[in-house]
Amino acid sequence: MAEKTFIKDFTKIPKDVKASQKINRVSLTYSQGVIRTLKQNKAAMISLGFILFIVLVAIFGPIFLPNYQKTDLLHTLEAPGRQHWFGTDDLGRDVLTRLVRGTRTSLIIGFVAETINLVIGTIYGGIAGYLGGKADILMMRVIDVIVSIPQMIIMILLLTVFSGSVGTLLFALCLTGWTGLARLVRGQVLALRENEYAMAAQVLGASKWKVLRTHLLPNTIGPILVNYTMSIPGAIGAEAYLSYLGLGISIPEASWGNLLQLGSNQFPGSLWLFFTPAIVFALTMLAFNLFGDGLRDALDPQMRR
Amino acid sequence: MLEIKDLRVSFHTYSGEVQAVRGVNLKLEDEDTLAIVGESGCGKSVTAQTIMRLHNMENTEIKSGEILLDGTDLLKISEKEMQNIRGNKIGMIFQEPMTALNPTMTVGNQIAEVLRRHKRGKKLSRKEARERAVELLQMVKLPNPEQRVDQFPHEFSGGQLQRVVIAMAMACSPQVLIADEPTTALDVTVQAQILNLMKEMQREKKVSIIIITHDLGVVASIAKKVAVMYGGIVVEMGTVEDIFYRSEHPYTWGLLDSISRLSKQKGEPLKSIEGTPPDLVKPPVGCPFADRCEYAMKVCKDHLPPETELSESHRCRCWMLDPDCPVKLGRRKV
Amino acid sequence: MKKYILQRIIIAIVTVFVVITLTFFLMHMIPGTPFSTGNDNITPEALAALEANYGLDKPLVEQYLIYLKNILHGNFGTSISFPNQSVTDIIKKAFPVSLDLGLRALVFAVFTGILLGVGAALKHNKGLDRFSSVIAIIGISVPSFVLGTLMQCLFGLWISSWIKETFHTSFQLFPISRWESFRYTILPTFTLGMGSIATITRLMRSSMLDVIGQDYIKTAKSKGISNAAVTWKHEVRNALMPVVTVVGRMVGSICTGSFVIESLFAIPGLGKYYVNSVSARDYTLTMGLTIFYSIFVVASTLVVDIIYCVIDPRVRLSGSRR
Repeated sequence: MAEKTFIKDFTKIPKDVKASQKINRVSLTYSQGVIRTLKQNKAAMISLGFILFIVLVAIFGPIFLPNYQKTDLLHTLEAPGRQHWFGTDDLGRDVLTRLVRGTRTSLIIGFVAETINLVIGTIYGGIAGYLGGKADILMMRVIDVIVSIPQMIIMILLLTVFSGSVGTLLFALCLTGWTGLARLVRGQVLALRENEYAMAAQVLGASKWKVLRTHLLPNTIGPILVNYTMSIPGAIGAEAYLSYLGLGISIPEASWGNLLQLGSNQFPGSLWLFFTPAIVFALTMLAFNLFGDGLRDALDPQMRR
Repeated sequence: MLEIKDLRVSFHTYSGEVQAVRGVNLKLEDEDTLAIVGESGCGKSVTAQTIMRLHNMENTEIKSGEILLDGTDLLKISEKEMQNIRGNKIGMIFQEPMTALNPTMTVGNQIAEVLRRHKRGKKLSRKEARERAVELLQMVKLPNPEQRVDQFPHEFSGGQLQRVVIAMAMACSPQVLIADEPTTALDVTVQAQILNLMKEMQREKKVSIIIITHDLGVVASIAKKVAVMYGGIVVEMGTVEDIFYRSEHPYTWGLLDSISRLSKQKGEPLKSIEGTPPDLVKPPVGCPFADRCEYAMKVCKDHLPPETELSESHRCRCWMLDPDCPVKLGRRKV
Repeated sequence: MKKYILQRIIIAIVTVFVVITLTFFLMHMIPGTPFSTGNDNITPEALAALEANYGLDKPLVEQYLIYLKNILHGNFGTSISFPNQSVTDIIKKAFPVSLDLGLRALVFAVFTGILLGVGAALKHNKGLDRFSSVIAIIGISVPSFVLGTLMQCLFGLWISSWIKETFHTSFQLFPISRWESFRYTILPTFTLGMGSIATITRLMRSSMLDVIGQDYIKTAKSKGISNAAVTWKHEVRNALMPVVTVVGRMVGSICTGSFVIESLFAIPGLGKYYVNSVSARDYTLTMGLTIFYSIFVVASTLVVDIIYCVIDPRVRLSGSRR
């Protein structure tokens, strides 16, 4: 043993159980942890910023640039310049104005369609999971059938039959779009019914409502939120795809899809007509996906380190 | 032949550096059975995994120490050389037999894999490897080994799978078998069978065993030597007799008091150690057990007690063993 | 296992039936008949004769039953815009091209996606992981028609004019339209595959990360097997399981996803006919192709589910997926 340079003080001290339980690391509540991880994720935060910006443009943009249908046959297919920042299209309409208006249309489609899907899916899945047994099996079989139908084909069919308007698009998107969420919610409810921690909570005397609030909601809201965020670009993309095929929203209305269609019709002469909506569109899709990714990672405690 | 010297291992987590192992010295003789005992989070599993170098490379750091197997430092050799040791000179058994085997491979192939990897001399054909696998399954007393060898893990029970894992670990007749809580996930009746199998393996194959456990019943039935770990250090070490009959550390007393025994008086409550083990992000500077110790003194709080050699086999870290300490509790009888 | 397969088959049949019914009645909700749309130089008599010819004068339910019977016999009716061709003929002629394109894209996507996914998981949070996540994000964010146009721009315009100027040749390495030799297939295959690469890479990566954390990987390592063997024999093999199902589902989606690619690159596939039939209001063709596509997607999904069930021993025993 090396030289002892200290005085050995053998005074008896009481045991200190409290001190032994002291936790030295930073302990975070679940939501604190989620927010902390999310904030550390730069890509997700930039994406969130971009999403907010695009939403603001969709809400207020058309107020400042209202004349999205105004044609000007003297200045057709003008390249971007001081007069028209993003140029003009084949009928002399200002591309920036139409892009702003299209942003509103496309975002409305994305948010409204997915919100409807959220409501339908949650209710359907909640009922199936709550009822359980035969009713649940039957309801899940219905979903199996709906999921098996190729979604794009059904949308094309619906848009062939009905006119291509925002309403029809929403209908087409919501016809099959809610199944994923319904499965998710049903799975969570079912798991909770059988889960040991929920059972433990009930045995310990927690009321049903408390179990629902403290166990079902925190466990379900995360995946639902991720699913919601990740489906919005899906809906926006579907609109663009269908409008690109000439089935969705038709000119003179403006949407990202028909702007892209017009752009590719003028291709390769007036590249700005294609690239301006394409860049905005791709950035938005990117932002939603990156934010959804970040949210998913943040909500999964095991991903945190 | 296996010696661990001053091993220190840390994990890097978002809340800081967890000093999981803080200077552990252990020695395992040939054909010996060493049990490492302690609560969860005391560093016993980390120690075992570090011997095999199976720790997570990304966030684990080996701060210092040596692990000598027949004089070779396992922490210094290359990954390739380590691979020649794993499964060959050191075998390992895990806690959860149900998840320890690859679900998409037959058990026979999984055993054959280790045989073919460490073939000695001529190449082992598939057929020969399968035959050897059947023999090994026979050795671990699995019924119908001829049929079982081609089955998938999900067709076995937990106890049967643990036999398969033992067969795999013993396939190349290793010098050392590390068993990380091998019976924890099993039914009590199966536990005894698995322990008996391990003892038999040791008799027949002359393997030395390191068994990690929190169950003193397991220790009593299989171990020859015991290391009691707490807060990342070994607080007491000795033969089974030393630990069970002559233990000097208050933590060991607590562990011994918390086992239920038939000899207990009727109505006598089962004792437990109050409090929780220290958080190893900022481990206590003194004795890690001080906060929970009934006999704690001021010195315990501030200084880590040195190792006192009580006999050739028995060592203990406690300030009460200091010659200057006024408190003399003396040898305790359980 | 039998019960599971039987259940899948029943669901598939019900799905196809639902699609046929839905398609039929939806198409008949369109006011008027295909012949009455804006065609003034047709006499009412001729119109009636035409309608009788196509069986449009019978009650709707009867028409439906006839249509159902015809489909069972593999008869999807006659095209209106290509009067002398049955829908079946068109499918026979054009579908192989679509299938060719779809399978090329799928093979390309599966190989690239799995390699990128494995690489990303092995080099978790390092360069390759970043690279593959960039690819994945591009694949998901940039829709195929934008990517296709971009490719045409790049190879059809900028690179080819550069080649022309530098080498004084009109040879085009990657032609941007038609479907003739291997050179012609590269750009469409790449464009179509890109979206699926993203999905497969992501899935493979998370599946790999999941498997890497499993206990049996530690067991495999404790046997002294080399890292490469652990990766390929244990990790990739197990991680592939969820990817297999998704790849199966992709057969369907990749074929329906090729509509735009086929139009864009002027490939004479079924997708091009489908898109044209929609804009030409060729209802029998639209209807026939919708149903054909659905049957194809449902059948390919079914086959994959059954294969999955056979190769994964866990499913084989329990009769249901994990």
